[in-house]
Amino acid sequence: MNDIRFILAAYLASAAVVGGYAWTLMRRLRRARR
Amino acid sequence: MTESALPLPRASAPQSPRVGPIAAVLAIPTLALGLYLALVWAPADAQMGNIQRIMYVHFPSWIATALAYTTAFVASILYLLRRRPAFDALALAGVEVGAVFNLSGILTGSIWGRPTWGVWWTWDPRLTTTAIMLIIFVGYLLLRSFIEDPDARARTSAIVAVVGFVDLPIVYFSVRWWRTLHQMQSSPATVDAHMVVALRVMMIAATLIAIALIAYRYELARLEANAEQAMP
Repeated sequence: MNDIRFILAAYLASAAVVGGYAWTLMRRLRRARR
Repeated sequence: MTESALPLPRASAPQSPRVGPIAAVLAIPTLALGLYLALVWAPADAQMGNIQRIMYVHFPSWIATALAYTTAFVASILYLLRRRPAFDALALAGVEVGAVFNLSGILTGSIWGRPTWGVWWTWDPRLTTTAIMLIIFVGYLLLRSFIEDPDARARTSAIVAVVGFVDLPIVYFSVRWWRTLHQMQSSPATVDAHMVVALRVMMIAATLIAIALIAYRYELARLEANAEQAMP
């Protein structure tokens, strides 16, 4: 059970960092293309 | 055909706009398959148990980091040799994406460290050199925002990227050169075949995501440079 919490935390941390960056990058790019 | 009918040269236009979408489209099913293999299909580690599954997101983060920083290093050298703004834009894209995966690698490693080593962080040579690497390249990004002249900014940041890149081989060899808590590089020959397959698929997914992000960031950098030039 404890393992699952750490595994989930690691995958979510990576998704938040990379996904968050990708999200803001696409927003900035959409604005710049206009 | 008259000369005026030929397309005008657009030296500063974004190049290869298809790389981003193609890599992004390929990354989605690869990542979905990779996550299934990593979290369901691959067996639990004999000693660490399920916690070892963090490896499938931790190690690919570092592959993407190395790819992005190497892109920035090569682009920076090319900029210093040729002085073409496209190489400066590619270097910026490589550094920014590299720093994102660098942070992902440190965070996933830290979360893996707590249940296995008992600490979230320790000043072990491998961990310290990765932290220094992140600081160097965040410094690169800060430096860019301080210099207004585009040529001076590109030249100075290219030098910082080339010098900063020296840390990457130090990170790689740190586990061999010094006594570290972090393990040495594993050999696929000594790892369960299922784990190797899951790891390879996640590495391909991370590589595709990094390529897509670098391509999109490059396009943004070119658009920003064009807008900067157009300003009075």
